[in-house]
Amino acid sequence: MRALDIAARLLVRGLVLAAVLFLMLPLLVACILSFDARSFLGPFPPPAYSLRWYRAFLDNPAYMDGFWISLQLAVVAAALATAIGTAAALALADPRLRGARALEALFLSPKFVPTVVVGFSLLVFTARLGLFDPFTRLVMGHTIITLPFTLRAVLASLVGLRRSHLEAAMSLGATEARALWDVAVPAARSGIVAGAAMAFVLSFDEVAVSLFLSDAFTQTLPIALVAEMRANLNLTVAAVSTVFLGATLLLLLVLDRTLGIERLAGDVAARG
Amino acid sequence: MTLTVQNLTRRFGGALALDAASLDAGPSEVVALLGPSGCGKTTTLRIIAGFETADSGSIQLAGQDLMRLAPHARDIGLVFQDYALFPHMTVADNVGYGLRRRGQPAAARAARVGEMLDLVRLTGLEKRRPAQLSGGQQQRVALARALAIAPRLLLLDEPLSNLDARLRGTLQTELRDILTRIGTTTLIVTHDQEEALALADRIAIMSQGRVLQLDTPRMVYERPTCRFVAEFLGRSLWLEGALQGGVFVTRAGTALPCSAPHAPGPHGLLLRPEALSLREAGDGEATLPATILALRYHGHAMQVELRVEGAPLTLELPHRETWPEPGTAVTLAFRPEAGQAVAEAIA
Repeated sequence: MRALDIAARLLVRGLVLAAVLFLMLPLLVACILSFDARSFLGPFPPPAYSLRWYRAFLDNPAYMDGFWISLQLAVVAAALATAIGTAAALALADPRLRGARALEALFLSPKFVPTVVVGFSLLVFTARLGLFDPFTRLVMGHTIITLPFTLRAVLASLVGLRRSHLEAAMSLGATEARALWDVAVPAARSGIVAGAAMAFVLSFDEVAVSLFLSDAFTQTLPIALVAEMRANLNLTVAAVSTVFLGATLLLLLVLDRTLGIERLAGDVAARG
Repeated sequence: MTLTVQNLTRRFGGALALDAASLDAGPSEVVALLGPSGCGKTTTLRIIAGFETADSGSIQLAGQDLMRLAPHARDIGLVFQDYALFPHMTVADNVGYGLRRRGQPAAARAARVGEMLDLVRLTGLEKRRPAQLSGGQQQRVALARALAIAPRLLLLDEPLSNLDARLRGTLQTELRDILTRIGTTTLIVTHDQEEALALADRIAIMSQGRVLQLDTPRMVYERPTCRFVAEFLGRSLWLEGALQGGVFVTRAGTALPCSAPHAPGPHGLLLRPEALSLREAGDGEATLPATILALRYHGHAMQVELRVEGAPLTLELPHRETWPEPGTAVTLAFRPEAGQAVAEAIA
């Protein structure tokens, strides 16, 4: 039995290690390749290192325009998705609301619809509406696909909120809206921040919806990358990926310092 | 302030939660709403606070119609069963919340918070968070928060039910002192009769959405208006039968003396265990045949389980040298005025 226990433990540890390597190695390879000094895609590892692909990224107007558009889009879409998601979560957390489960499923449905379908539907829909401004269309698409994530995060953080908290505030002189602001919003703080961060990251590297909704002059960074890869494949992609990775790590670090990453992960896990 | 609740009726789906419930509480009076779970006492409290609506009936506080006011405009202090302290605020911010909503300046707020924490003896804990407090301390913060706004009416929802037995005793005395000192009209909702007896000036016994009796603890215990009240409060022996002339004849045919009934309709005979004794009948005493089922040694007394005309009865009797064996037929004696004819139900 004892030998079997040890064997089982080693097997589990081996599997965890394999999973971590499987997740991390490709990222590490892309990272190292981004510093490759060669002008072509050569065998790994690179014989010499330089910052040429980072320079290429900064010098390429298509990338830089894409970067600014993606940044603005992510900020606007994340802000909208967070505001709508928070309001919806507060409404859904009210036990007096009938059909809350059905409404929640409806709000979460964009998560299960393929993004290609969301993008195509919005393209047709906005065209019918006569709405052709690509940035507006992108904001709509990104808000829709990030909304389930902000809603889930806020709902999860509201689990500890009791109806009696709101009623206590009302009995002390707060209107219902005031009670929500004073009691429910602080309780949901970690979920709001986590949801906003997730929405920002998701919007920033979203491809499929953007592919349908952007035009030649308004391209997000991921779209610019895909276009560039098709036209002339080089290691600028690796450099941009590394920048992405660094920015995401930085965001996580800030969140960890302000809220605690376990709490964020726990809040999200509590609702699955 | 005087609280008057009249004919409150509320339906949830098909179920009648409140069936024309009426009660009142005078200035500085403490009234307990006592009843089993599901009797409508919590619904009554929530309608008074404004969190539920009534289908019909009226609530007046100092002559003002409360139903017209939103919950936040009612000036009612409410202590929730789970205390409902705001977890992200300090004790001082919790207690001062109602004052902040009333736009009081910080200095006045701090003074009032200090005064309230002094009242509930929590001075020095201003900066703590609710999670850092014991259950008893949380309860007192909740009370201080409700009282800080100088409410016109104080509502307490099962105030001591979340505390362990020993703490409950101490806090009960403390709560009674505070209620006496502040003199706010208070309504306590509870299912615990000991709590009601210890805290209330008058007790309203509720069952199935109706207030069956509202009177002083003594009157409710000694002169119950119906069978439910008689059996709900304290221990009792209830014998079924009928009044014939001035005597009560039980199902088994025993004729027993009893007080005159208050109301027409079917009656039973109520006897409190403390009025019954296991001995030969003295001068003018009435007797009742019984069978001993079991004897249990209870330290200060002997617990004697009996069967009286089919009804179970438990008596706590002082120790004696010898006890009849279980199974023995015995005679219970009681003073004739101890027997009360009580209505089966209120019409």
